[in-house]
Amino acid sequence: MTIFDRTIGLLERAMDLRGARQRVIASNVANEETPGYRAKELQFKEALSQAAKGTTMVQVRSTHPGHIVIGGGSAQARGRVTEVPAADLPLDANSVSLDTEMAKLSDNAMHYNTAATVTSMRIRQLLSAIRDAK
Amino acid sequence: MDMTDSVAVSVSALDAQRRRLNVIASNLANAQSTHSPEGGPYRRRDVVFQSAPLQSPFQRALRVSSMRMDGPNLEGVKVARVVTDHKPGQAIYDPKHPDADAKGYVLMPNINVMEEMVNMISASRAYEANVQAIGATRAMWNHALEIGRS
Repeated sequence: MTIFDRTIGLLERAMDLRGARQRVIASNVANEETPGYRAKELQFKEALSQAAKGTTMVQVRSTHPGHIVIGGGSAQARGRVTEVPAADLPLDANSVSLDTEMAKLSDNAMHYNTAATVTSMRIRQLLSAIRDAK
Repeated sequence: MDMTDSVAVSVSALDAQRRRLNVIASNLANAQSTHSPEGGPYRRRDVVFQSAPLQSPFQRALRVSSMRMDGPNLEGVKVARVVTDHKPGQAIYDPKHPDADAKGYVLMPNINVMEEMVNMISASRAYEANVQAIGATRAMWNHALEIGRS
């Protein structure tokens, strides 16, 4: 049993991925008026929820590409970048919708802040457990 | 994870939009200039935006291997060039004007003030959107700094 259980690792990876998503959204907002630019999207929902389901606490190191990873943990959750398909392109063929990006921006920041707050609470729990034992 | 990158992307857009505003201001200021260094009336200018990668290929490869992610190629924006609009301006009949031709017509700059005002609003809205993006990133940072603080 480790002090930091899977929750912290999962939250950490979620914050990493949210941070990366923030960069992608910032890039879309910056290129709102660039001719020919296609909006990009970072997807990691399935990857992260799969990592959350992995219940093994034991980490097995894979030293060969043929090895099977057991309980790879949340650190293995990867994001995937896709281009937003634009059904009806405007004249300059730019597929960024500013309102959508701004909504995504605040949604992403909210999720990130939630993860940070929960991490903080988790650490505080551990701290109080340590202090009470004294 | 380096969130300064997302701020750098937004800053590149702030810079590009500010340059665009400069060009628009120049167009508005010269809406009546019948003289220019190149000869003839002032000609309308416009900027061309281009997305530009912020990372070198090495930085990108490093990020992909350390972040275990299909590295999103971060793209900022820059002003690729400033183009001159060559559509003809209006000719106004004013024989007393020093720049009037033999028939008494003065060639005015090809600037439509309404069009420039619309572009100006568009540029300042885009600027605001990027300021908002920086604000959101900063809020994320602040929350991350709160971790472990009791």
